[in-house]
Amino acid sequence: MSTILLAVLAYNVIVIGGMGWYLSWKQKRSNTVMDMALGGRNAGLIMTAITLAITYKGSAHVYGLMEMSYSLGAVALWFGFAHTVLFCVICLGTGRWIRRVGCSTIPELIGKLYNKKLRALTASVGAMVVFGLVTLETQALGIGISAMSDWTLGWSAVVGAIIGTAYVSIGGMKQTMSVNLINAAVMYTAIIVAGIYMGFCLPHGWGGVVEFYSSHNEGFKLSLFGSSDMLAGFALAAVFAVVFSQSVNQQGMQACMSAKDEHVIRKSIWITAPLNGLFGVFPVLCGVAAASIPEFAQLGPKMAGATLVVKLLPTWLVIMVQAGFISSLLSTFAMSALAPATIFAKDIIGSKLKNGLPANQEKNLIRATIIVIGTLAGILTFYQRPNVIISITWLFAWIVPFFFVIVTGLFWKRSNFAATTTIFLSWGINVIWSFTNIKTMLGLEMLENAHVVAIVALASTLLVNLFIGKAKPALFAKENEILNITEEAA
Amino acid sequence: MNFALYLFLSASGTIFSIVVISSVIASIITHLYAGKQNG
Repeated sequence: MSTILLAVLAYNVIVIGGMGWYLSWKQKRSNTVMDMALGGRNAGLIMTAITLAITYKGSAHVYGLMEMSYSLGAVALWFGFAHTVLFCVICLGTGRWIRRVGCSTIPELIGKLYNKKLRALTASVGAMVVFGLVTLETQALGIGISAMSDWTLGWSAVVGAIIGTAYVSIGGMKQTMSVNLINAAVMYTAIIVAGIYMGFCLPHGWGGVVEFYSSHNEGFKLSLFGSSDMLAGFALAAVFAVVFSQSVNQQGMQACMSAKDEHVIRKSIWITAPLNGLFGVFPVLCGVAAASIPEFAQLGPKMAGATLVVKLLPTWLVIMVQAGFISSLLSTFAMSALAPATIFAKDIIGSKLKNGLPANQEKNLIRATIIVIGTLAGILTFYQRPNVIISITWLFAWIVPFFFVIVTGLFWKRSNFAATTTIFLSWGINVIWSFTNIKTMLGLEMLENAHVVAIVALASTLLVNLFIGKAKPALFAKENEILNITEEAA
Repeated sequence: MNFALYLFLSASGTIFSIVVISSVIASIITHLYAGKQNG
């Protein structure tokens, strides 16, 4: 095993194990049962902001951006800007509304707005989507471990799944949030130093990279705005897919639900947005530089950037960067594994019982579910490793209709028929767009799944709600606001 | 200008602009919605 891998694993064992030990000691002293899912709903500004920023910064931000910028150039950074728009929507809108209602899961909110059948349906699909994300996080952990060792990507992914599962099953939400604070400090120090250092250790400096692209007539790859095709095809697609699906997805909302109050969520935009968005600069620099150096370019988009970091930077800096990367991936893996486990315990099992599961049983069920999810993710990733960003945008398309259904139910009206129609129409078009040749037949190749689903969901929401006669008033309608929230949250 | 510095500065500017514009839009929408509810 390489020194770098050993040091990175030792760092994670010390930080994760130390925090797990400290929290269980604290819990024993106070004689309480740990709230695995929401950590007691008392997270402050810094903890909420950093957890939000790191939760949405996993495989796609780290190795996905390296992979994408290798092919597209600097325009790949729009994936990061799409997340800035997303944080604006969460911190100024969806995150606050969901915290105000006091739910624990997105399906629970949909159940509260509409009915129990819709809750079960959205829970099943939501859990499936987040499980897909877990497999991609596992793949990214594998890329990181593989770049530091001689192990194959498949086996590295299995090791990543084992470490990730151990991480989240030890302590749940509170531990993940606390570890995030330490990891954020290490990771940002590391990438700032590494970003500066790269200018000195690239074979011909940044001038050589610029010269390479200019001489190949690819100067547009050095611009944030790329070419017009790239801006429309990639940047716009990323904003669509990320904003409409992630603004109501379980992992992010779980961080908001854990916040002390909605003012904390509103203020956190000023920390979360730059913290998350600027992170993307470093992987993009690595991808753009790696594609211009034959030694790394020949490794292909998936491994070039990751290998450049390991081979060019000095060992102490590689250890810091990789410890930060792996920690970030572990955090996203943890939140992604915790989300379907929480949905399973609360929406699929707990919702069948009159008073939900007792705290202790819920904790054990969430822990057992996380272990099953981690094991399945490890096995699947050993055999299948699709392109990270393309897979993520496809998965996001499934939860796009939730955004429209939730916003309508909170602010306009609550029609079970309209909500069910919107969800089924959106999922139907998503399946058709994925498995048939319809987009070529219609000459709409430029529209990705997320675009089409967003258009269909918006049209269906507007049309069906406009023509529907009977519907309950919105949850936040003035006359219902106080009554509904206090009654239903109780 | 150094490419890394160019990318960092232009990314910072873009992110800051998105946050400021969104905050202004959110304030306007909140104001209008509150007005409609009260009206």
